[in-house]
Amino acid sequence: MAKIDRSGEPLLSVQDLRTYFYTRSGVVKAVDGISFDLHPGETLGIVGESGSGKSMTAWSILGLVPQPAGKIVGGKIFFKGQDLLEASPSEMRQIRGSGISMVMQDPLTSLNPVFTIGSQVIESLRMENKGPAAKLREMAAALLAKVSIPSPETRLHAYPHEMSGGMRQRVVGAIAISRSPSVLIADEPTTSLDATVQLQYLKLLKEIQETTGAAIIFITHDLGIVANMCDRVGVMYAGKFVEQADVLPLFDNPSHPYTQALMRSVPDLEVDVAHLPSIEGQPPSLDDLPPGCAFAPRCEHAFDKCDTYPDTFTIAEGHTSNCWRHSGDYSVAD
Amino acid sequence: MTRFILIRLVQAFFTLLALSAGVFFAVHLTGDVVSFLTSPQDTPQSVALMRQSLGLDRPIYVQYWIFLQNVVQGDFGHSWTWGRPASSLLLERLPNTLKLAASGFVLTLILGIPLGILSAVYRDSVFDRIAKFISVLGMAAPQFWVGIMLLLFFGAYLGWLPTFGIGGPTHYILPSFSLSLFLIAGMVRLTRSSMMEVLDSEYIKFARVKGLHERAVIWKHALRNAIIPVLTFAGISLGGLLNGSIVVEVVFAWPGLGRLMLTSVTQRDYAVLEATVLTAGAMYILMAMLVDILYAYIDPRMREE
Amino acid sequence: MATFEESGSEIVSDAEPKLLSIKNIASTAGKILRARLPWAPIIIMAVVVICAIFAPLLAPHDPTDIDIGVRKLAPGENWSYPLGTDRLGRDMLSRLIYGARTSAFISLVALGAGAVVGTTVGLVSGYAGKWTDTILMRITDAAMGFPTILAAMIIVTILGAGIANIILAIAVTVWARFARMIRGEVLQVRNRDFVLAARITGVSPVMIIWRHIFPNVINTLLIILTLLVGQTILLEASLSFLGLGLAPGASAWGLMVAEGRDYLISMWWLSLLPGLVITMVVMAFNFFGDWLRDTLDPKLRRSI
Repeated sequence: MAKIDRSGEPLLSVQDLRTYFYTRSGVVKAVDGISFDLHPGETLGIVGESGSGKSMTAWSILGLVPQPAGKIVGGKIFFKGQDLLEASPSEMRQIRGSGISMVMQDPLTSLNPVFTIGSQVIESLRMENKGPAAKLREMAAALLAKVSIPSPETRLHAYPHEMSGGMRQRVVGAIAISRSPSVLIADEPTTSLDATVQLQYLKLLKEIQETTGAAIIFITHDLGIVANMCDRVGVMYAGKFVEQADVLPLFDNPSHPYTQALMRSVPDLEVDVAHLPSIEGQPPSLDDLPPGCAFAPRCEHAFDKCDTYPDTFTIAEGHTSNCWRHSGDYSVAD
Repeated sequence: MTRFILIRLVQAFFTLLALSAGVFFAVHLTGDVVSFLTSPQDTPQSVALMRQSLGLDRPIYVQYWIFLQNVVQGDFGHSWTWGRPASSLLLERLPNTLKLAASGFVLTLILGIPLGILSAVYRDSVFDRIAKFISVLGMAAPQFWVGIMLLLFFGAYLGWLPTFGIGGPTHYILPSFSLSLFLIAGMVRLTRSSMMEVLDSEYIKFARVKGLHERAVIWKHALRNAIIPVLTFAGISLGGLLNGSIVVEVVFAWPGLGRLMLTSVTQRDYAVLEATVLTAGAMYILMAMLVDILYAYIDPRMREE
Repeated sequence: MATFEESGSEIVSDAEPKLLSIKNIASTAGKILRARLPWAPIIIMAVVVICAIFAPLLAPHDPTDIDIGVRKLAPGENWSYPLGTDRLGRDMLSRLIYGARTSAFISLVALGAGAVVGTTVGLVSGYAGKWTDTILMRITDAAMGFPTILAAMIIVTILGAGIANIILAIAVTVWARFARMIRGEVLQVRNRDFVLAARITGVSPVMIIWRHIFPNVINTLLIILTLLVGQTILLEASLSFLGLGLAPGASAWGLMVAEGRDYLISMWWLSLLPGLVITMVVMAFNFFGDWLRDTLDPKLRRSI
């Protein structure tokens, strides 16, 4: 893996982001104080169980938090120095697609069923490239070829339902990179694909990154994928990062009990299809969180101090963990 | 696509044939036409003669075959209450009903669809409230009563609008509104829920991620999908228009097919009854076919069925 | 007509399979009771049912009692006739109460008959598939789109007037709605493991449908039933407004509106009141049906 230069300005800097949902049963703190920096060419993995706020972090960055229930209540998001939370709707629209783009979870439903592949690719291209229809078609075919879709010219006339899931996911990828964004968010892009297609797609994402130099935020629950794809990892639990580290230190020395539990639930890291880590207990419901560490109820190491939220402890340079076990107060050996 | 249209055409033809058989046999096997044309004083010989002259002594399937041949030539037989050919009555009344139904249908589309969309896009806005009110009221208030109340208020009380019969454009306002309120309600409700569902879908989110303008997201990506069930409803609602036009024509003394149908039922005027029912049924079947074809045009997934 | 249900046939719900048992009925009942009940519609519905059952006890006068001495009383003019009288001196309130009886009786019997036929067709069509399904669904589509009043008129013409024929006419037009929806539900259940298991072990199709599939569509059935009550009442009212079937002078809401039509200016209450009653009652049933659907099975929102 190429060494990432982190000395310059980060491309994307998220600082203490808080996205809450106001529902009838209470306030759901989907994202509750997330901070990270993303540098050019870097791949950040955000790992966690479903419902931990991973996807909502992505939607917050794109300015597409579901209305009217959801609201970004705090924090800053700097993209190339501009605070996205201060940006006007039309400025945000400019950034979506061309600055920050996203590949979503479900290839079967991400494409509009009533338009041809071609028209959906061209629609995106047309936002930046003025020109005759024939030229745009050519560009679209080239784009499909770039994501390794066989016979792209004929595919332009196909409707989404005429293609396989893997092919559709490639089209989604092609559209997402059509305007060469500098940040690409991939939200569990391979969950609904079968194993071999999954691998091909991950390879494709890497190739895209190498040719375009885009930074990627990779959202997943699969540690196997993280190990293969990412430079840096944030482990998310109940709307917060509980541990952040570069990928090797994280796997060498997982420090937060939740990270450790996730690692244990993956049988073999060489197996890329390790799905659905199972940890005892249920993820907490976000509208009714315990006052202290949200993982405490499921944690085998929990002790009385866990009733207040843990400080951030530095394990090593660039490796932090939010757990009281790292303080001097934890003495009970297990 | 051509194959699809051909299949639908053939299906429509057979449905029409089945309808004609149903109507013909139902009428001819259950009521003796001759008994209405003769009086007890008539001798058995004259009754038999009449039977023969009407062709009623032949086997029923032969009668049906003759009936079909006549219908194809536009001859539905002779109306004994009006004393003239049923087809001429039909031609006189049908345009009035078509005009009424068309204005009701247009009203349904131009009020129902936009209101449904606006209410889904701007939830809890003033549009949404108007839409909810109309859909709740329209689904519950009987058409004939809405007609009578409109007539009472705008016609009799305020004296603004004509209340019966056919004439200038103002004559259409009250009848077509009473006719379409129920359908507008259904349309608003359906468009709203269909649109809300589509707006929630992944491909709409992805269209936004692409950086598309919100106008394009709603009026291109969302509408084209949301309109599919709406079209089905439009097709079904044609049946509703025919239904409603019977009632509304009675309320507003509209000289149309519906009222003709109703009187033919009460008068047992079989020629007119067959003519009107077949015409109404044929109209329904053809419209349903057109909707199906339109539907396949809009939704590519349907073409392969 | 093209079908939506087909595309959804592969969606496998992860809900537990249901068998026909006290426990499942109790769970449905529990779901209903736990939710916040829509009291206004329930009260209106209860009033209609009570009026229908106890009409002779509740009505202050005989609805057919003609009394020229009290004719053309406006509502409130004479408190012995709170809602006024018609041109023959018949008490409006009593006629409305008896009208509930006519409406409720005709609508419920017709709807019940339609539900039995439609559910059977839907179950068979959905389970059997292939050409059985194609034929049954073509018939269903044709019946569903066929103008209901037109169908009713044909039936009344052929069989003559009378309550039984009105009921038949309504049943003939509503069954198709049950068939369509139930078939859609069956398609979703048909390929689930417990049905396949029963099939492999050689359970007869009738038993599979009855023991394994039917219990899974009961909620849907209940919801359609409730949602259709309003429409059935409207249809019944339209037929009686047109004078198809019921004898003049009978106490039926639609008929009362029709009778009042000739005295619109002099006696506005004759048409206004029964229409208002119909609207309120139908609204109550519609609200309740929507609520029931949202409570028991929010998925159905898209298809009904």
